[in-house]
Amino acid sequence: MRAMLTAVALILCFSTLAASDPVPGSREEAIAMVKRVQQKFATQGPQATFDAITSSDEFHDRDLYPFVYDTEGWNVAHGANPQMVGKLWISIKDQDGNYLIKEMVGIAHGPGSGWVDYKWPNPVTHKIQDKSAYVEKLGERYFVGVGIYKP
Amino acid sequence: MIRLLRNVPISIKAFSASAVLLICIVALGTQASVFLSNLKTDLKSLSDSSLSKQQQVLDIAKGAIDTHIDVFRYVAWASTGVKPATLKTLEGRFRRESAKVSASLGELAARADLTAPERVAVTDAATKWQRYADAAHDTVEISTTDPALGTVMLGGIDDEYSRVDFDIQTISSLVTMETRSSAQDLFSQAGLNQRFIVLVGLAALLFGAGVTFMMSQSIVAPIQAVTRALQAVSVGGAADVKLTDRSDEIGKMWRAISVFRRKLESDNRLLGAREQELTTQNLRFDAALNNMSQGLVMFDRDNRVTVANRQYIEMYRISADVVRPGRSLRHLLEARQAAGTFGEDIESYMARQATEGFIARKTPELPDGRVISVVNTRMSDGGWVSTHEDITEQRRTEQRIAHMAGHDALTGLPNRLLFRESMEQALAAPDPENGVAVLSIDLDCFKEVNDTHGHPAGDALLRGVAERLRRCVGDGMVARLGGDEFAMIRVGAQSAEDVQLLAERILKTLGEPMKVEGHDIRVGSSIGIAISPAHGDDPDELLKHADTALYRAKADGRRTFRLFEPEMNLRALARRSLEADLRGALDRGEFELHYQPFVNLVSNQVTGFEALIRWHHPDKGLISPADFIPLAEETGLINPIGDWVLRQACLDAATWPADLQIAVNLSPVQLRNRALPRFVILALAAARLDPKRLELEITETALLQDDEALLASLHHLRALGVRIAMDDFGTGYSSLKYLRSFPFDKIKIDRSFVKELGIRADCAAIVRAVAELGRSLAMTTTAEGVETEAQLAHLKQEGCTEVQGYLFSKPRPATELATLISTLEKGLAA
Repeated sequence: MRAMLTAVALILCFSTLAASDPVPGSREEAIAMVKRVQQKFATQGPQATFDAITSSDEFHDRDLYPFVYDTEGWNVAHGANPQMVGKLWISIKDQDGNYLIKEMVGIAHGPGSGWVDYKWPNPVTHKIQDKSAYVEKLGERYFVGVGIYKP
Repeated sequence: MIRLLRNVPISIKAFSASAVLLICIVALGTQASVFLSNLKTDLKSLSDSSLSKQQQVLDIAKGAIDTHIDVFRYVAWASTGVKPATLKTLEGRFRRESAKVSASLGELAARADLTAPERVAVTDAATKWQRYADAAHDTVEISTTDPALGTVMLGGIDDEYSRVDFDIQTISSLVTMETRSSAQDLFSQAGLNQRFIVLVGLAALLFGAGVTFMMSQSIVAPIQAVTRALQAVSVGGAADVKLTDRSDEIGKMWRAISVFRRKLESDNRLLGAREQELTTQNLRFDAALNNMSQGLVMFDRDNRVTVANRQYIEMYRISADVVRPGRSLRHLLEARQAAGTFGEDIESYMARQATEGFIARKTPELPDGRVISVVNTRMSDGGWVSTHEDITEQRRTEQRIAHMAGHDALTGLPNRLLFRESMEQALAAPDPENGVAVLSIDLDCFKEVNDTHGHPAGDALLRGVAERLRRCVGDGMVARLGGDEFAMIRVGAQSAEDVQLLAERILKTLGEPMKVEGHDIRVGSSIGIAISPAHGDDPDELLKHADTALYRAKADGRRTFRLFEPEMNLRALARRSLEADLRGALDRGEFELHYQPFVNLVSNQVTGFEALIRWHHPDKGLISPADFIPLAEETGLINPIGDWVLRQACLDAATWPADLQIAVNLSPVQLRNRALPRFVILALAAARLDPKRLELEITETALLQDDEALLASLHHLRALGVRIAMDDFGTGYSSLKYLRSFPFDKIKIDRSFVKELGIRADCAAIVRAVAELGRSLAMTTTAEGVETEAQLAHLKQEGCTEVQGYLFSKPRPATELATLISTLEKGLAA
């Protein structure tokens, strides 16, 4: 019931956005959203943060949304599609052949933050678009990312 | 070895060879069987293990592909808004397929016959498949709500699938390698077995060939030798093979053959003899067949020719091919018809043969006129033989003989026999209205023609007469009964006048001159007619009456005809009774000789007597020679009578003085008898009379025929010393030719000249001329019938040498001669 309500709400929200011809989120806004997740993770712990990402509108801004995976590739939170939570995505590959999750895992293990370019469905337009996501290590086991869709 | 084999029976040899070959075959068979059995086991393991494994792997690979494709299909359909129900169905299929692949991998992993690498690969594949399946399930699930994300997810599961596929390929390779190695094992094993079988087979073949060669050396070679020997025997050569020392079947066979050969040789000798005999018989048969006078053809039961001879072919003018064995009767008849030697219709002939059956004997006439006598004889085998003889000539001869029997050869007219038959026929069916007339026709002077011109002329005359009569006869019949006797029968004579007209026509026709051998001869005829039923109804009687009438016609001066009248019969009867009397007269001694003297006018002495016959008939008294001599000449009785006269005259003359001559008359009939000189000699001898005293008088008509034999007889008699006189000179032709043809001793001048001497001057002249002729030819001239002194004076004056007549004496019996002589000499002297 909740899920349904959420879906309805999402549809209403998207339609509202579309109607208002929203401006795509910028790189800065994406980094800012990552920082907000970091902050929430740091303060409220993982579970609250993940729930907030997946089940609330706390981190939704037009086409910007956060996603969290552990370093093995399992999704733990997703701002656009709750179905993705709890599934292993390490071997996912976009149309250009980018193992995007593996790249992100590499950033998490290596520099701790960075940009990853790949193709992904736009939750607003429902089209697969070129995306550039800013990723940062989140805690010891996770990393968080927010991407912008390039027109 | 060979020597040992010679005495082993062939049956044992053959058995041994067969046994060896059998063992070889059994060994080969066993080996092949074992090999095949192994092969079967190996193939079974191959199909049970390797092949089923391979099949499972293939199934898994296929199931994986299907699953993977369905994932893609699902994402694509979800992206394009396909109905949820369809997507549901597709999702269901995807789940089944994925589950089936998992199950198959489980089954494969559970197999006990997996090799270690296989097991590792299968376990890997199962793990990877599980991962793939999970990812695929996620993709499907997400695609339902977020097709775009599903689309992105496809890249990930594709990788997963590649891994699974790699493992499946690995398993497949492993299993394929295993199968290949098993097959290679089988192949190498088969090669081994093949080599073994080939080697063992070759060995068996060599061994068998060796054994067979040895057997053939001990069986075939001697058989070949025997065969060669038999061939040599068959062409007559000698067999120089020595096989009798063998104790096997060959030896036995050779001993048997030797016996058989000796038998064969003796049989051949017999056969040769038989063949020679048969050849001879065949030649004889052929010769007999082709030299028999008849044509012969033989048929089998189906009317097919079996044999025919040359005469048959020639007789019917057909080719030899027509009578080739096997030819049909119909074909033969057709050929004969084509050759013109079969006159009947073939169809009706065949039909008649079929219906009337076998015709044993027939004499058909061919279209060319030949007559063939055909005799058909059935043979025991159902065939028949037909002999053909050309009897045309025989037929003609028969017909000629039949014609000759009934016809006269000279004129071709029917003869007496046929004539009589015709008469019988005519009389057997009398016509009440019209009678049957018989004409008896006789030529008047045929004898003279015969005498004057000879028999050929006479014959020609008869032929001419026959021709003329034939023209007269009409629908009657004319026949020559003999000599110059003809007869005619006329059926349907309306009346006596009618027949008389015919007779007149005949007389006229025959009275006309006839050209015979350059002479114009006028031959008259006399005819006697008898008509039935008035003159009798019996052929003989009727003919006799016609003869009687003829006789009457002749008696009435010839060249006429007479119809029979009953009284004629009486006269004829008289004549016949005279003839009968004449026949017995000689035996009964009714004849007597009378003698008439002839006188020499120079010496005035009786120089001899002429013997003249007299017949004392018991009832009729003395009968004149003029009455019975013609009858005797006609009947031939003149010969015995003349002979008697000659003998009697000689006997009488022997009693007379030796200077007296005896003159005897000879009939022309007697003269023509070749035996005349013998009769004369016998008569002279019987009387012991000097031939010089005998004088034979002949008439000039006797010389008419210019008969060489007759002249020879006269010369013969004259050489004996008998004197020959010409009698009745002046009555006939009186040709000087006759005087020249024979040197007569005397000429007797006919009494007719003497009778008119002194009355007719020419008679005196003739007498004078004859006397003169006699003198110059040194012949005595005797005048007959001197009755008066005046005649005697004239005869003396004309120079006749002798005279004879009633003036001196009429003929007297022999008993009165002595008296007569003395009386005459007294008178002459005065």
